[in-house]
Amino acid sequence: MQLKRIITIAAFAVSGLIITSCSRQVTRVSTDETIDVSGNWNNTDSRLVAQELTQNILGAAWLSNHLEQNAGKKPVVIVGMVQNKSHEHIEAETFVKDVEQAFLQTQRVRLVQGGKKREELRAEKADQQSNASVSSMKKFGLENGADYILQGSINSIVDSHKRKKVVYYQVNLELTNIQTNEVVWIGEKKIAKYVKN
Amino acid sequence: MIAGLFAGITYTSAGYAQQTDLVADQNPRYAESVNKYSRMADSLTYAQGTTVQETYKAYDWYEAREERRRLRRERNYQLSLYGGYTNYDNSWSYPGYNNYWNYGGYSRYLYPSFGFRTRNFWFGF
Repeated sequence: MQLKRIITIAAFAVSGLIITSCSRQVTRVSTDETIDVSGNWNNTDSRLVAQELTQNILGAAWLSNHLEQNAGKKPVVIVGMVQNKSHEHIEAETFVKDVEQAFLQTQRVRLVQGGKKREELRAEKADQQSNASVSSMKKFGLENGADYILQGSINSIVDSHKRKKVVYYQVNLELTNIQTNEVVWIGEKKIAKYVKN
Repeated sequence: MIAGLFAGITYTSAGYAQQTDLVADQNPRYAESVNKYSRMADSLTYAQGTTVQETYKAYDWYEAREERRRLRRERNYQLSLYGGYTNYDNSWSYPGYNNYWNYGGYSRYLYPSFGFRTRNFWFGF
């Protein structure tokens, strides 16, 4: 009788364990919280890069130099290509957008669209030439030309042996004067991780 | 020659017209952009108001394991259709038909059914 009861309790406990282990549990976390699961590139890395580069680019000498040389006229920046040469899929837009946002929030740098979004804008303008009313139609040839282009690269080095791995990321962003090809600012963020399986 | 002259006059007058239409600071070659984008306007604006999906498949250890398991089960099922191939991954098997080579397996489609085999060589008639 006693044994039967123990077996029943054990069966309930095991089935409960199986049910809870199979069900998926999702918990909302803060985006500022650091949670490392696999050791791969994650949101914390992107946040750290964004913080470092935003602070650096807005505090660098290129901005004051430009304002001085152009009678206080704000620089116009276009975001160019970021090359990912690392071993992982890394979306640079997650930190480049933070830099762009800082430009606009501080009102110290002006931004112009580039790439596919610019293509769409011009196409919309072309569409307006034959469909919009004359008073609302936007004209071609009046875009703001950028003074600087922001380009970048992401590199990584992986050193692994058996269950141990060291991953090193280096994110570089650089700002170049479009008129003179002069590089006026280079920002970098280095991240190293030790992963043990 | 007349056609060429006519085209030249048209081009010149169009250029002149464009020059006179310019507003302050407008790029004098703006018509080139108008021509270029007028041709592509439809294809570049058709996705407006929609979300263009440019997703990528992120590596998920758990999902990758489930996918591997699914593929293995499917492969074993397909193999089982070709003569009850002994499944070493799972415990399932046909008792008595465990010898893959003797029973046939894939080999019965590759080799003649009448003959004999020594080691890895099949002598068929």
